[in-house]
Amino acid sequence: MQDFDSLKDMWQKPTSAAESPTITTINKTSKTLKMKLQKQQLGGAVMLVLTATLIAAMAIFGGFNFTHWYTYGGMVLICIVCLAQAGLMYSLYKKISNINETVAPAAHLQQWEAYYDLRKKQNKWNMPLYYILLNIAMGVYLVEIFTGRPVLNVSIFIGVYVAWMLFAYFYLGKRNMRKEDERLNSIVTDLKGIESQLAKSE
Amino acid sequence: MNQQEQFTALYNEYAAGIKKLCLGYTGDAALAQDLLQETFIAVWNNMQKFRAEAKWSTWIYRIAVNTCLTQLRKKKETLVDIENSHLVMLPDDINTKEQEVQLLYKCISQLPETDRLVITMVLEDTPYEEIASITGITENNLRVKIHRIKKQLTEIYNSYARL
Repeated sequence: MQDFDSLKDMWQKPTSAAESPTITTINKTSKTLKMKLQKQQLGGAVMLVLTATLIAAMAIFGGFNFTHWYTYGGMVLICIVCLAQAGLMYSLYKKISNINETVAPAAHLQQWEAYYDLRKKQNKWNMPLYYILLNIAMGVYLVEIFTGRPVLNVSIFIGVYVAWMLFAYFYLGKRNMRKEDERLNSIVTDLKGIESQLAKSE
Repeated sequence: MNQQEQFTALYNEYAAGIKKLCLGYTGDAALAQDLLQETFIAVWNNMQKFRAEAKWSTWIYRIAVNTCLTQLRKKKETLVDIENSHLVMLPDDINTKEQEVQLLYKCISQLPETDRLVITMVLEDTPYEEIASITGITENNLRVKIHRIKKQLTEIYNSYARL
């Protein structure tokens, strides 16, 4: 039968598990949770900016000589959608960067909670809006491309495209959104649980 | 002293204590090493923000506590389950100090998250005032909390030691 002071004596004796770590090991890692999330958002934003740049370069230097202005309009709209999404991802990156690890735990947890609450809210409108705008832009772009093509070829292309988009949105997208929503809910619940542990005294 | 030298000095002074804090939190040496590294990356990234309003130790331990608490989500599934771990084998051969300490780490990891961190600092003889400052819990509440956690930890340890 041990009392607390015996446990403390036991704790304070040096053991192999608690050996002083050497500083050389610290420089090899750079994957904190915060950094991973930042990298995810910044990486996504950079990819979207590159996509928009590539499409803009194609529109300007591609020599397509489209006859209708709205075909270029479709390409511009795709660029705008990509850049808007990139802007949103960059703003999330900045929000994560601004989370301060040096404040008291309750305040720190609240910052993460606010971030995840924002993600939850964004999840509800971001993906549907992104899909709708991107498909409108693609539709506008394809009008001229399809003009004068055999009806059967156009029908096959549109059929496959629409089927893929519906599958991607209603199956893959909804499934991912549900998973993401569950994950965010579980994180927020965990954070609230820890916050309540800090708040109560007994 | 430049930032690198300052960082090295802080690491040499506090890494062992932070490692024990993380060990108490996770009950697992590998996870504790990850948390230690993440803590000191945050220390490096935030060193310019240190304004000497608190002691270095309070500031670094606060970062460690925040790192542990927010890593919970990622590590939750891997935190050691005492009933399913090899520890159930321990009572037969719990005759070495090392194993007793290992059991103590595992017992601490059975406590609620914030309690693990608080009791680890108590075991390290960190003054209550500093623990209050690190965790943001008022000193009065902290005393009540510590009294309860001490009792709970002793009971958990003894229940395993009796087996």
